[in-house]
Amino acid sequence: MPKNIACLYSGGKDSTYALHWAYLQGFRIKCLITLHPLRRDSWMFHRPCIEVTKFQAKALGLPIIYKYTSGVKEEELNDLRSAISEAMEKYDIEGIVAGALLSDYQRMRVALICEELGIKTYVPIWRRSQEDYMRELIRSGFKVLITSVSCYGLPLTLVGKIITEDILDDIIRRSREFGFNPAFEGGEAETLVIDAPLFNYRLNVYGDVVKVGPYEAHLNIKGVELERK
Amino acid sequence: MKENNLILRNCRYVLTFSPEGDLRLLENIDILVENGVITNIGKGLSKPRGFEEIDAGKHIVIPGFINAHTHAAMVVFRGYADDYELFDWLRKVWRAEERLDREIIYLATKVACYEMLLSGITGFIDMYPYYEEVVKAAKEIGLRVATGPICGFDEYLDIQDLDYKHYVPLINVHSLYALPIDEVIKCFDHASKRNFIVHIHVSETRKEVFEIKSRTGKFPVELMDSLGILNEKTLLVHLNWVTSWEVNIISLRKAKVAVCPTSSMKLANSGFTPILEFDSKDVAVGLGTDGACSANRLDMIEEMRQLILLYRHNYWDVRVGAKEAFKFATVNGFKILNIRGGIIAPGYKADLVAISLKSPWLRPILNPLSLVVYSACRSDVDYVIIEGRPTLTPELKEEIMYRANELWNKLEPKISKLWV
Repeated sequence: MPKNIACLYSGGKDSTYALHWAYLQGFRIKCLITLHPLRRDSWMFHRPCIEVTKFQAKALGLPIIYKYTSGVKEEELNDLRSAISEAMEKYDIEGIVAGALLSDYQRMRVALICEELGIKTYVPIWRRSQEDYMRELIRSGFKVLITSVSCYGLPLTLVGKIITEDILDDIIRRSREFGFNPAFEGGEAETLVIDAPLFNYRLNVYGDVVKVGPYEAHLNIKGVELERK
Repeated sequence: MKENNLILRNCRYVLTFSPEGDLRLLENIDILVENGVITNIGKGLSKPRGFEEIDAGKHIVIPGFINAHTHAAMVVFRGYADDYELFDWLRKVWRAEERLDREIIYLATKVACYEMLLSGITGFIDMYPYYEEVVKAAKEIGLRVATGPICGFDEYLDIQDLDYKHYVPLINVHSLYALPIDEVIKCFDHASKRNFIVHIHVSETRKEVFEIKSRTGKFPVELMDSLGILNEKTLLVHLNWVTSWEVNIISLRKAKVAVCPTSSMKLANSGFTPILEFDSKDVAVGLGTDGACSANRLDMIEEMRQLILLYRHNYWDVRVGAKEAFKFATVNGFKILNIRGGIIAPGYKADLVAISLKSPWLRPILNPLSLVVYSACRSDVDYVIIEGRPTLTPELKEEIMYRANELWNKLEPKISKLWV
């Protein structure tokens, strides 16, 4: 019997990749769980473009548990616990797959909540080589849109672009030169997956690039449409 | 003929780390050992009178392995609890262990020592009740042993003089969750006053981390550091669920680490020690088999292979390979014990293992390191020399197998009472 699990989903490359991995490992993904933080500086959850996960859930053909959270450090853990509990009740899940890459704050908090609730955690990209991971992501057909940049060394012109192999080569070269994480684990940039091998629809995203400072810009999303693949 | 004086003649290969930390491969070379210490390595060395000579022309000679974490006497529980997750496993095993007695522990450790010897292990770090029996068994076989009283189990933490030169005294603390924190602190204080190593299981499972965090608000290593009980004499075992900031604390405090990949996988503990991060921060990571109740085998060659496979399965890259596993199993084990060994170079203790190249699974000889780590098995171990004393030789092998089986014949009727 395959194991029923839920994916802790922010819509970015890491959680989409974790979901992809779980399918390939024979898990049965029952739902996505998205936490929408009401503060910009949440410790646990990504805020930019978080509402787009509702479209991604449709593209994947999966139900979504979508919850708002204060974004206050400890309170948001309670909100996560209740979202996972809801997934356990509704979908009988036995585990969570999450996309943490290098943040032990996220990985261990999710692990401890799941321990308390008596379910397993799977973190497939944990501590993987960031360069290898990024290359694999692009080669596997993930269309990753850069929705924000906030790091010295990354050009603001990347905002709104889909990461191609050439763009990735440039990001990796710059990450070595300026010493940032090429998979943006330190929040150097945020991403949104607009197409992936398991998506039944691709997302067409419309918006404007807003420059906030000399090293910071983001995509102000005005609309999203699903297009049948 | 004097004991502990010998020459290994014409070693086909010698594979070792150098004192500077590079991996070295020497060919067709002699190793001279005087009073248990390597004194010369070179071609055509003359054999002093009375020295034993071993022909290693068809062997790869490597340093002896240190089994950095085990519960040797648990060979009596081999096959007893194969399919349980750790906490169910512990419940089952702890009930059975209540019926153990001194004699069983002595006999079981002795048979485990034979098993370890047959797989090239020259020393082991042990945690089990009645440590005097463990030391007695190791002494009779000639293996190095590091063990001592278990905090909370043994009434007295003062270590007796056990009159064995290959004994390293230490204090065993099962874990932060098995006894009150006050007791743990007391044991660490006791060890620190006597400059003993403290050997402790830490962050082995997610459940353990959850319990400690709920109880104290801190992660286990964080807690130890806040209590001032983390230092260069602390040996932390497992660390499957350690956080990145705890890795930094361990490195800062110069604590040592032991990992047991087979046991961690078999007990479905998930998580895995970030060995690459530890190694890059110069934290000494040793390799252990754990007890035979969880890992079934006391076999370091197998353990090296499992370590690499587990790492690669988890992290999907090849940054940890044969070189790292070999370092953990040899040099680092000796570093943890603070013994000048684990390296084949003049001035180092002559703990040596000769692996026979006779087996067809050890051909072609493209890369001796690869053969040792990925292809060899314990049956390929021909010679084990412990501080210059040939403790296993091809001539002795059959007799050792016989003696070990005789011990089992004695043990088996005594252990049937353990099953519950």
